[in-house]
Amino acid sequence: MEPSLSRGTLVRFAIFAVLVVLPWIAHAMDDPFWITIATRMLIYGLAAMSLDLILGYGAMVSFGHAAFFGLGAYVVGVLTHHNFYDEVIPFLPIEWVGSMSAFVQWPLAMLVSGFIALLIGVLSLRTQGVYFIMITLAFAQMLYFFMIGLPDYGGEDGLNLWQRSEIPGLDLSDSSQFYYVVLVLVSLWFLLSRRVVESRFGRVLTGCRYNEPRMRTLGYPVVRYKLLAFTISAMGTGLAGALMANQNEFVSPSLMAWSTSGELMVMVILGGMGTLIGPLVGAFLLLSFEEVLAGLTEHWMVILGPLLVFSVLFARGGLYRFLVGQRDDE
Amino acid sequence: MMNRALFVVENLTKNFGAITASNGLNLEVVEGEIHALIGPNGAGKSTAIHQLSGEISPDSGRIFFRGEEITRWSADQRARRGIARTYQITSLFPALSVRDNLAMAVQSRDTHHFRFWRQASKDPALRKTVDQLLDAHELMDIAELRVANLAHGQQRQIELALGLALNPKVLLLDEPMAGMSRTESLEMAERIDRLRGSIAVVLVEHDMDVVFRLADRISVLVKGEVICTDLPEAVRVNPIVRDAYLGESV
Repeated sequence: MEPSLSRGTLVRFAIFAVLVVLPWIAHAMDDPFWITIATRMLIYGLAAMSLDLILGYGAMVSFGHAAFFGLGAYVVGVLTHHNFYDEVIPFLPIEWVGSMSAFVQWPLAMLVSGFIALLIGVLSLRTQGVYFIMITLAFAQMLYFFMIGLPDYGGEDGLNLWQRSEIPGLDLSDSSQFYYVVLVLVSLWFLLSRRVVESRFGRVLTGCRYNEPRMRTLGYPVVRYKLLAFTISAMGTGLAGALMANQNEFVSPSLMAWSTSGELMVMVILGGMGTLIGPLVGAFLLLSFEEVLAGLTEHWMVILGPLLVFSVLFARGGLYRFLVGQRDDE
Repeated sequence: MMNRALFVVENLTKNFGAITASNGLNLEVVEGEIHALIGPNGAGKSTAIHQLSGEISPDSGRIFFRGEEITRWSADQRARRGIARTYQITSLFPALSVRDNLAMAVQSRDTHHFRFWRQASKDPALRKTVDQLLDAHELMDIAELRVANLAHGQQRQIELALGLALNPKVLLLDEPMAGMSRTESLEMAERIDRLRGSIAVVLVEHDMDVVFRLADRISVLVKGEVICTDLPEAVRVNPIVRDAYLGESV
């Protein structure tokens, strides 16, 4: 493991370096649209990285993470909407017209996602395997149809935001500035997640992945640990949702659709489960495929499908492990 | 002897469909003793162990541990209170090193407030305790190897070490010698013998030589029921036991 450690550091550093200089290259090539695409990839990467916390480290296959992605986005959407029209938010005990500040919107997006995850987790984590997949999917679909049924916030048509969140001293409507804010948040979330998986808490998650019954007879209140991991994961995904709302300046229930959950899972598996940085790579890979193939033919899914099958068959540990030369059980 | 009772099991019943695994089982384990459970195949020995460890809950009956009723306690709760176990089929973390396997148990001894920040592999307190355990169980040479790559006998040894790493008051051993060679069995028997007096051991084992040599007391299970609990010499000559189980083989 020692030699591949430095190779891993090298690969991570290279990825980070490319991400830092990307806006300059885009400007130099006179193609600033690249920045928008890259921002989108980073945001999906953040969500996939968060999903990896439970999928890769805790073997909890959540097929409902789009719910938290959408929730995060809707928190920003609702706060912006009410603030823009100077209307009191109806379902709160206090009179509040929302806020445009990113320092209010984004943490709140994380808290709401985390809180809902706590509720969903308490019920879903009684189950395992296929049942866990189905119940998380069911909850996500419930929220999806709930948002469709809310005409005040656009229902199925979604909600236009007219402007992005505000950070004093920055202009987030500038695509480069927004890109760098997203990059900083993704980097921070990566560092935080890495500390978590290497901590005692992370060890318990790893133990549960390998042998959950044994963890129980070793004295671990397994469900409590998993619930907390599920909540942290949802908070990261909620933050990604909040950023997505800003990126699109639009929120709609489609963010919560089951296909989004599926995409996040594909990103994690493609990039490498249990690597944190892998899912970020996976997000870039999958969205690039979509971008390129969609330009070639409208039936791009026909090409993408077999590509995914091949990558899962022949690069089982994911692209990131392939890059750093690691086996998939390490 | 009565006042040193660690486990008291009263009228435990457990059915799996039409099969009765425990049928009014009564048992008492006292502090520091090695208490063997023997009986023919299907007598309900493993089911009894599972109910003591909390992995299976009984249909009726009560279990007391150090005077407290624990019948409805979860497995993890019992483990934290000092009930550890090993498995007939080795149950470890195969992809992790021997050191990390033991660390998993040692970490569980500390209170379960969640620690997110400090790197576990650099935790000096954790490392020191694990080092002591590796020394005590003569596993230092293979400490950094992955458990999956070890021989069966070594894995069985780690299985025992993992149970003991919890510092339990009682250790439930479900066929600790399963699949071991003669020499390995003898070594394991020696290790178990050394536990006598410090913690209680509930031992399920098929090797009758080992059982009669190690056990302070033996309970004989037949059809989910304890038909007799006594000293080894007494069990050996008990006509009911001979009739029900031992036959002419002893």
